[in-house]
Amino acid sequence: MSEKILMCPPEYYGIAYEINPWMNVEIQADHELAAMQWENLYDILKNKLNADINLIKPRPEVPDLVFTANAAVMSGNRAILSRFKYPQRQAEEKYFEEWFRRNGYEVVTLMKDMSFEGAGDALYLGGSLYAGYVPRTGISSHLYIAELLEISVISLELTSQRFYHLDTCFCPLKNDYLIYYPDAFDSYANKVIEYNVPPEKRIIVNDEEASYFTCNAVNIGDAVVTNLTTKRFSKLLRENGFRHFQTDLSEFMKAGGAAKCLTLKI
Amino acid sequence: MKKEMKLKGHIIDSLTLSKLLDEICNHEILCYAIEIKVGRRREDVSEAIFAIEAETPEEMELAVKIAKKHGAMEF
Repeated sequence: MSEKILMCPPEYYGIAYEINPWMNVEIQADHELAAMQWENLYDILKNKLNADINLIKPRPEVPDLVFTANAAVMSGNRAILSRFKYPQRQAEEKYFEEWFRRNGYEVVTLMKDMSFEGAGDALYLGGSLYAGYVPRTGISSHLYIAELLEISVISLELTSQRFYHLDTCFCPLKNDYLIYYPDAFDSYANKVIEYNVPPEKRIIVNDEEASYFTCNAVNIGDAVVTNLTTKRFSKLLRENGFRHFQTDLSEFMKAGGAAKCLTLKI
Repeated sequence: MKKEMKLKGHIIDSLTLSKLLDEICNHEILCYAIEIKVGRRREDVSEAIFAIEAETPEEMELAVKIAKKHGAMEF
């Protein structure tokens, strides 16, 4: 069965504000190049990896709608909608909610005083949901989701503003492999990861690879899709039985996003 | 001055309780767990009650801020 993925064309994408260290309104994304890069990612997912791509209509007032990973965290047919921390992205919530309802998903909304940024900060691995907190998502949402889904939610503290979402530094793969960047986490989170993920399943990226958002990867079967990264990382993936697809996402890196940020498995 | 707070969640698997107490102690503020109820199954949440004993209101404010960052609640 093909993987069902939600994406948003980058018709209105641009750097309209600064809410993470990667964003600088003086360094604009090249719109034509961004559109081409998005099409290349779409092409890999749809035509090479047979993904079933669903699209949400872009809106001019929400340039970051293109980063659909932050729409929700999914549990079967249920979408637990995001509550964005920054006002600049809060306007996206109604469009994502509308899309999920119209497409037959059960929608769960969190309390207004919670911040939670969807699959950007909550990723399944080994029967648990790993959830990042501090930069964007508040830890109170972890307890709410744990009780709602009746699942173990493992909280990991993110300590770098550059890696502001869990999916920028932590990527579960098929068969419980994990790509991650230890320096993005506090020492306790690293202990938790090391306790739960055996050494032979850990694919650790170095500083250079982390800066290319190599962890912000899309995994479909044995394929891993990333922004352009190092030969060392490609070799690591191959040695662990994965195929590596690289595609240049430089224009989205200007907003602090790469392959995973542009997709949501639904 | 002493304040008791509650922490609930997968606080054992995530080491959240240890981290919270450690971070407060790093500021030389006394804190300790009073009671820990551990969930029976992996998906069950655990619950802890812990105390902060601060020497000044500023210390207490700092300790409570740290505790809340990690999800602790006043009760």
